[in-house]
Amino acid sequence: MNLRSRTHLVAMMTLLIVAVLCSVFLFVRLQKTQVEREIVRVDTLMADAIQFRGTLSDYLLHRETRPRLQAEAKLSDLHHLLGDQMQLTVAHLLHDAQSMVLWDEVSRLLAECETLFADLSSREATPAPREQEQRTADLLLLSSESLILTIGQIHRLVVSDLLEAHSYEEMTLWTLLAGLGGLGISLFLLLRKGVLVPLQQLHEAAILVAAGQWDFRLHSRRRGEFGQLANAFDHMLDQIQETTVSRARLEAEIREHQQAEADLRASEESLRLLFEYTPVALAMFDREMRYIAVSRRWIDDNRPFIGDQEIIGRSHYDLLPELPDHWKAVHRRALEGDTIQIDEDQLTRIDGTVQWLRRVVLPWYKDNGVIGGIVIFVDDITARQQAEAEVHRLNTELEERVGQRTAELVAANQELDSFAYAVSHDLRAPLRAMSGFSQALLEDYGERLDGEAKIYLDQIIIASRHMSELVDGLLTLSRSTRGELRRDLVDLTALAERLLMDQATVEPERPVSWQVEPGLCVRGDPVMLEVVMRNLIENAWKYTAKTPNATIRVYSENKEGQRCYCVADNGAGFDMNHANRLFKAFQRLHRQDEFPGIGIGLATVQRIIHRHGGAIRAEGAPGHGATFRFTLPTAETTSKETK
Amino acid sequence: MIHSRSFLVSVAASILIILATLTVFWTRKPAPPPPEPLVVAATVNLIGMPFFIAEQQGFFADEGLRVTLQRHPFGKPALEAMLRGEADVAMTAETPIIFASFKETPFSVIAHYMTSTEHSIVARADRGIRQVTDLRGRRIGVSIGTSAHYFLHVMLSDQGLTIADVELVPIPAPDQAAALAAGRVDAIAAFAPHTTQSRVALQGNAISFPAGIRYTGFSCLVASRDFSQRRPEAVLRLLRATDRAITWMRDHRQEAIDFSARELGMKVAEVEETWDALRPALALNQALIFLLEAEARWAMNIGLAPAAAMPNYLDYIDASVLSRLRPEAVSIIQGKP
Repeated sequence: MNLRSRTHLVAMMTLLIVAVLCSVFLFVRLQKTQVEREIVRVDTLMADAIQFRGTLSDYLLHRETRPRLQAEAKLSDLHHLLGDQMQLTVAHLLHDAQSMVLWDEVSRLLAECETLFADLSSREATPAPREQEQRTADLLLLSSESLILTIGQIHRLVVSDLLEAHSYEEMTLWTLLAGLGGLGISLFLLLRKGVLVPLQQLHEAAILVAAGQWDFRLHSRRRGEFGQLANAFDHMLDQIQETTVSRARLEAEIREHQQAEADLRASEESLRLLFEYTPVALAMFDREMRYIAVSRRWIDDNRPFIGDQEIIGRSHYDLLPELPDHWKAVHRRALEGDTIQIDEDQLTRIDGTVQWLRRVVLPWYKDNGVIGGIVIFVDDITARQQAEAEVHRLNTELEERVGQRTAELVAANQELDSFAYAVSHDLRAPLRAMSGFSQALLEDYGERLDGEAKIYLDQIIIASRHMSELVDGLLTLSRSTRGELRRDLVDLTALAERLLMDQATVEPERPVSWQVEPGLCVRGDPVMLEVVMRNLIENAWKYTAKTPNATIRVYSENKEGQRCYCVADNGAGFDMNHANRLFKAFQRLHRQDEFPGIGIGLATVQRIIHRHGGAIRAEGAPGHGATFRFTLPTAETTSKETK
Repeated sequence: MIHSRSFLVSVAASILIILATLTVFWTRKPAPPPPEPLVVAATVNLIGMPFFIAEQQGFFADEGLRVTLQRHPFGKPALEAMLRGEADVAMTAETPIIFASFKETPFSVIAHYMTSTEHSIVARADRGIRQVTDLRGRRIGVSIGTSAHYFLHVMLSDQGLTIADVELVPIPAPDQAAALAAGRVDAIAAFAPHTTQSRVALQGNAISFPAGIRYTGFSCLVASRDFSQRRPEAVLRLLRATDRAITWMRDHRQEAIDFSARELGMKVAEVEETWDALRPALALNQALIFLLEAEARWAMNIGLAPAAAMPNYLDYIDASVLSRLRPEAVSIIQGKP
């Protein structure tokens, strides 16, 4: 429905509603007016009935003409009034049966009054029987009283009607006001919904579009003119936006194109510069081997053959007509897609100098994937070749020196071996002599020697023995750094068990418990590793001598990514502040009378471990035992080292 | 748009639910109490019709009463039944009331529901009776102690005659038509339907002298003195049902006449003859006191009642219930106790 039809409809509905409401109000108002008139008439009737009753009483008391005439006048008034009243009220009160009954009763009572009064007054001349007259008077009084009472009942009904009509009138008035108010609100809402809101939306849309929000659309679902207007508005915006977007896109494309051209030019320039000034000989050819681009180095290198003439666009073969065929063949292969690389190409120049070159010939491709030509790259590697030759010469010289030094070292070692053997052998003989003669002197002449002499002899024997031990230790230490190092598989578990059993056999009275982790296998020199394990286990055994519940553990663990083999005890331990002295020869952390020793064992152990390429470390605390951890290279590491 | 439609549907549904709830609430009446039993001694004549109509239309049941209607030929035996305690309420004319009042039987008139001018004297025309004065010396059949008896006195005294000027023949009302037709009496003084039956019996030989405005009979509802105090709600319901029956009679005139004809075994035309002489209306008018006192004086004068002090008939009026139902219908001026 369009706006015009809607407006007409609203106007008609408004007129209809107003007309209906006004008609109802007028009808109610007319009814109220009618009831008000009836009240006046009933009041008049009541006044006349009361006046008749008064004159009747006067007449019954005095039987004179004046009251009779007055009563007759009132009866006449009542008669006429009631006749008119009946005609006026029947139509109005037709619906009220109770009122009709009362009006009938009033008529009947009035008729009775008229009849009885006529009967009474007609007997003025001829007196009636007393009882009959008395009865007539009584009936008159009763009828007139009933007449007044019945009119009173009608009065109440009419007043009730008046109140009802008044209520209706008030209600209708309020309804009319409410209807008009509701109508006004409805019209406002209709106007707001149908006109104001769409106009406001259009207004806001126009402002938004004017502010540049081209994407804004009304998307109205309204029907009628405003819906069509909103759709047309949206359509108009679509077209404007389409035009604007197309133009913007075109401008953007132009800008992009210009930018691309500029970039391309810049790129070409960069490429040209790069090509031209690259420190190698570089040339780019088309399929007919015409120069497209060339570096200065290329020109410089070929200046002896081509001079200073312009070469861009000219054929390579025209410029170098004596170019060997195998080079042309290389060029053809590249034009077919191969990449040819010649790492070392010796060239003897005209001046007789030798030049080493690295050549690369490769195709270049167009956008469509077709080979556009070839690129020839020539790098002068003469300097590098010379440097490599120098390195080779130095290496050879170094190897010769190493060989010489090694020989010297072998000779020194052999001398050292000899010295060590001589020391051990030569020193042992006098020591045995000192010890043996001291022993013999003590055995053969001991009875003649006093106590102090015996003590001296004992001290000589002890010192000799200690000296012997020192010599053995030094020999062992010496051997640990010499001789061939074997790399056999050594069962460390079995070795430790055996050494511990040996200790237990020597000192069966010591209640020492031990734990050896099964399956400990390492690769190394069996003899040297036995020296290592014996020293570590003997140390552990020795330093737990004063510890109740002595315990020795041999195990392995992973620490800092390396496999460590550990010998741990809960013995005397040591102060970590002096840990750096542990592995030095003849350095001891305990007194000789506490724990006897010569101070070479751990130095030997460290040398053997180092010779294997491993490391050893000690941890401990006084009274809380010590732990020695050593590592050995794995088989793989060993293999690499061997190589 | 969709939102507004949904909103309207929601509003409509809510209104319907509210209306349905209110309807159920309003139409759900509390369970009615069991009907209250009430025995009414009714007269099987036209003045008894409002009660038969109330019963037939279910007005008693509607008011929560289970009424048993005792059927009596006229008011006098009905009143006697009530006084004997056989009925709670009786309907009777004013004449039996004044006779009962001389016996100092405690009872109360709770309302009169009908006034009528149905009484008439029916005389045989072949006996030369043309006007009331022609009744002098004639044999007149009447039911002694009824309203017809007093009516005859009114008609005669209006003409300067007395009961002594005629020969009263006591005949029960139902037998009067036959007696008149047989010529055993020259006239009868009675009320409907006996007057009609007498005229029909005489066919064209009957001459009637109706009461006109000279005598208006009152049909009353009478109960024992304390009945209204003991069972005021029952009396109220009885009066309300009677009022509905009276209204129904006004609104359905022909149906009421047809029903009365069937109930009394009369022809419709015969009922219609008398129907307009009946003025059914619940009231307690001052005229009733006038009439009771007039009839009391008459009864004492003719010796039907002991010559004693006039009873105060206000003591026999109980307007308490009617005042609740129709206060405008009570016009008796009751003195302060």
